[in-house]
Amino acid sequence: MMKIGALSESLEDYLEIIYQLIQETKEARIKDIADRKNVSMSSVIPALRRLSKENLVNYKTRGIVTLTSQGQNLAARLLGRHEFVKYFLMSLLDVPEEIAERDACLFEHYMSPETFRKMVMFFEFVDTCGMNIRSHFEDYIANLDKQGDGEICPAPECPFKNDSFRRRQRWGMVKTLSSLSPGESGRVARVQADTAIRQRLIDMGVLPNVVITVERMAPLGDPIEIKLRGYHLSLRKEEADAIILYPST
Amino acid sequence: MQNNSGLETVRVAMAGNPNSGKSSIFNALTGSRQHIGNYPGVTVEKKEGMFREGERSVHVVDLPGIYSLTSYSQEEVIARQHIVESKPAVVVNVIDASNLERNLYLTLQLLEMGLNVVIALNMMDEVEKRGIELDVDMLSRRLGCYVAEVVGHKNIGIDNLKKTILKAFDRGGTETEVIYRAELGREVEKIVKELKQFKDIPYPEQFAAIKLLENDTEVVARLKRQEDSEALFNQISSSIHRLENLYGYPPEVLIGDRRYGYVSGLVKEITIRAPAIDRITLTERIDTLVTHRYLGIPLFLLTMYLIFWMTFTLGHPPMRWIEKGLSLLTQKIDSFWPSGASLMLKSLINDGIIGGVGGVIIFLPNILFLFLGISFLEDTGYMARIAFIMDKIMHKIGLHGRSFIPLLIGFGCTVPAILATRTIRSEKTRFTTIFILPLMSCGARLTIYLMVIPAFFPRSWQAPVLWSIYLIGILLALLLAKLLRKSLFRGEAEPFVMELPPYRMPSMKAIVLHMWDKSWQYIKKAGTIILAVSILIWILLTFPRVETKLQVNPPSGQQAQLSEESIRQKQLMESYAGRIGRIIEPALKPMGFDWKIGTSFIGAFAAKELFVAQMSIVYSIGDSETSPETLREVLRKNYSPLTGFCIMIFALIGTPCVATLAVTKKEMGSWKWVAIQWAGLTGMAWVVTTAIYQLGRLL
Ligand SMILES: Nc1nc2c(ncn2[C@@H]2O[C@H](COP(=O)(O)OP(=O)(O)OP(=O)(O)O)[C@@H](O)[C@H]2O)c(=O)[nH]1
Ligand SMILES: [Mg+2]
Repeated sequence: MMKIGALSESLEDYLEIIYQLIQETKEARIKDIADRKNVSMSSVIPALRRLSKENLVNYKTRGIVTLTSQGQNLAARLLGRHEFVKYFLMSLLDVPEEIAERDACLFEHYMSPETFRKMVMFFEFVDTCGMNIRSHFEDYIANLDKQGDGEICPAPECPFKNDSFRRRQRWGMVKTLSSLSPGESGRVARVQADTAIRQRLIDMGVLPNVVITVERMAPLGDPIEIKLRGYHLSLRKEEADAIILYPST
Repeated sequence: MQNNSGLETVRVAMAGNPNSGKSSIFNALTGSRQHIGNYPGVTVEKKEGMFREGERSVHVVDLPGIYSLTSYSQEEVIARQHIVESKPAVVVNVIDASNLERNLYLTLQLLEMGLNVVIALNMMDEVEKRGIELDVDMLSRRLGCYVAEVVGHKNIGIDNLKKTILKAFDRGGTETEVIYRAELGREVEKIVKELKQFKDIPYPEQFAAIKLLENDTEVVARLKRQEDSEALFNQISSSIHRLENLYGYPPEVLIGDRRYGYVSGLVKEITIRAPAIDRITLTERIDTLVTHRYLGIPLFLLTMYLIFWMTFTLGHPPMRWIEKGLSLLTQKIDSFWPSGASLMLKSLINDGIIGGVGGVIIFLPNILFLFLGISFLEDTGYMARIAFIMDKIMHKIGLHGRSFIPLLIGFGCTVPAILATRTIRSEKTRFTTIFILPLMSCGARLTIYLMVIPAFFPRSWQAPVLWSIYLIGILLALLLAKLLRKSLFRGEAEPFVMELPPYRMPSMKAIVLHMWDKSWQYIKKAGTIILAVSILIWILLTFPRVETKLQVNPPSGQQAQLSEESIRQKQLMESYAGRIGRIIEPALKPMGFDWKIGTSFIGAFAAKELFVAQMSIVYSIGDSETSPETLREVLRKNYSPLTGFCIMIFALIGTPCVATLAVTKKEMGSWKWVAIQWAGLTGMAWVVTTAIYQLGRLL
């Protein structure tokens, strides 16, 4: 797999633009690429040649560019990283969107994998820690700004709250229990089942931060057997679908 | 409490997680013989027993297992109701010491209830085997209640447990601290304050407050009925809202988290030594094989085949002995019958009682071997794996993994199979399973097939025909299940969340006792219901008597036989059963049956195997020495193979036997269901048999 940062910043940008164009309009034409990047068509060609030499794009002279699977993979990771950084800045640090967008563009190319990983972990921590750091922080800022009274701030009704799971799934941060294979394990982020079955799962000890290992699947593929808190439990994939985990590495 | 013999009575209840060994300890305490098995959900009803300790008589109630005090399934409601509402003086909380964390979760809730809890720390043998050392004193001090170590199935530590129960009774309560602190604790306190204004709520305030935060249906409904509960419910919803905003989780998750957090801290604290286990346990190794992707299902089929093989092959010789014994008995009665005595009485004893009851008793060995196999499945822990393996298929037709076990048992006998459905939690799934159970061809119906098949089909056809009968039954069962779940028993599928217990070696003693109980039950059934119905059928076939002119001097033996035969025929035609047979004949015609077959099916209603006996009476071959060969010849002469096949199909689907109906009534609670089941299956039998007969005639 090609590492982030192995290409130049501008080549990485090209890759992302091609990816986005394909996503949006099903195809990437050289003219559109030039428009989007705000350069002339003649300067797009050498960049494409270099990308094609790295085996990231298929570039034919007729003006349509496609991505190789390797290119697609790298572009998706770059974009996921971009999106994460932007979200991190906006939701955690309350940075306005324009600034967050601009900074994310810079971070995405220059940040080391180590820092990125720590940022993801910190984000997870803030999200799951019972001490509610995020709201304290927002509370703190709100008080700084307004010198208002000390009531708990309404921050948990954050506009991103509802779709944050989908986002995090895209970043590869969370998975459902049913998508793990035997031998894999993860830490519970939350349980999305309806009340009756959720209460039962709580009683069986399926709670945030508990480590669950998938032991095996039944011969017909369903139900699955899992291990948690030192005992074995079996449940249908239907139920396992409702259990969201941070996969262990 | 004082009873009239002057003994002080102490009321005790057993509570604990499923499969933690409650019934084992209950049996050890009270000398009872409650059913025990190595899978969760063996006990499904309250069971009572008692023991005496000094001047006190202690009444113990064994309860179904529960994971928490939340009402979830039916038998868990029974347990919770007993614990919450009838307020036992002492609650013996049985804990599987090899699985402390999850077991102690319930303990915390029992303590929250303010119950006088004694912990029976069970399975200490397994803990020792694993080299784990526990600080039991510390556990007792931290939870503020007495703890007794026991090994339930081996009777170790039972005396000490008895003494501890009474010590707790004398102390009258526990010394337990509250574990809810910080924001959660504050909200609980607020609700408790609101609750104080109500005087007659049946729960302790702290418990009620927590259950209200968890939005427990039963407690919420109970308090909604209270007058002026508006302020309370306003407080509750504001508390729930506040906690959710603060922590980002609903209160029930917070509460669960708090309890489990406390428990896992406690477990760390009391564990003195716990060798890290990196070796693969035996259970895991067995499971790798038993639930293997490709081997799992074949292994399961092989196991079932072995059990059936054992049932039929090993059960055969003793069955023959009983058969021989019975026919010897009939002959003896025949030869010693005083010449002047009533022939009617002799017929009642020989044909009615020995024929009817004996016909059932001869299957005792088969039944015993079947139950030996099933108790092996239960005690080792394989039963839970079968549910695990088969759940997918069962789920597809609207049933549950647990439905599969009764269906298997149904090949032996429908009666124990219906009892086995108690492990199915959802009522609709359970009722569906009971409804389709008679379609699993039982051992008694096998006797009918064994009579009919050789009469009509050449040797090379016999096995496929038998196979097709069983298959038709299974296919119809699957179809019917699907249909019922879409109509009569429509409802959501029950989720499958089941604990898989570790494998255990079954103890010889337990199995022998189990066998003994089963045979006794079976003999009791033969001696009561089967006896009564046999006599009834004999009466129906014998009365009213027709006027017969007995020839005083029969000219020759040959002719006497003949005339006796014709008298019998006439008698039969005119008997109540014969009349009924002729009345229903028009309904039987489309299926290709005459009134004789019809009458025999009335007999088969008592017990399916009576069909064979009855057919032979109808054809006047009642003589006990006649071999079945001749009956077969008579059948071949009188009927076509198509009719033979139709007899088997009708026997398979229609008219479930009396014992089945009685158990269905007991388990489903109303004669309405019994009527629907009986009529439904018999109607279906009529339709299917008619279709086969009419189609068969065209070909
Ligand atoms: N090793 C060991 N096994 C035990 C002990 N006590 C009980 N067992 C076994 O544990 C299994 C469960 O026992 P039961 O007494 O049926 O458990 P229960 O709590 O009544 O179970 P449910 O009725 O299903 O709630 C059986 O296989 C017992 O033989 C013990 O002290 N040590
Ligand atoms: Mg039990």
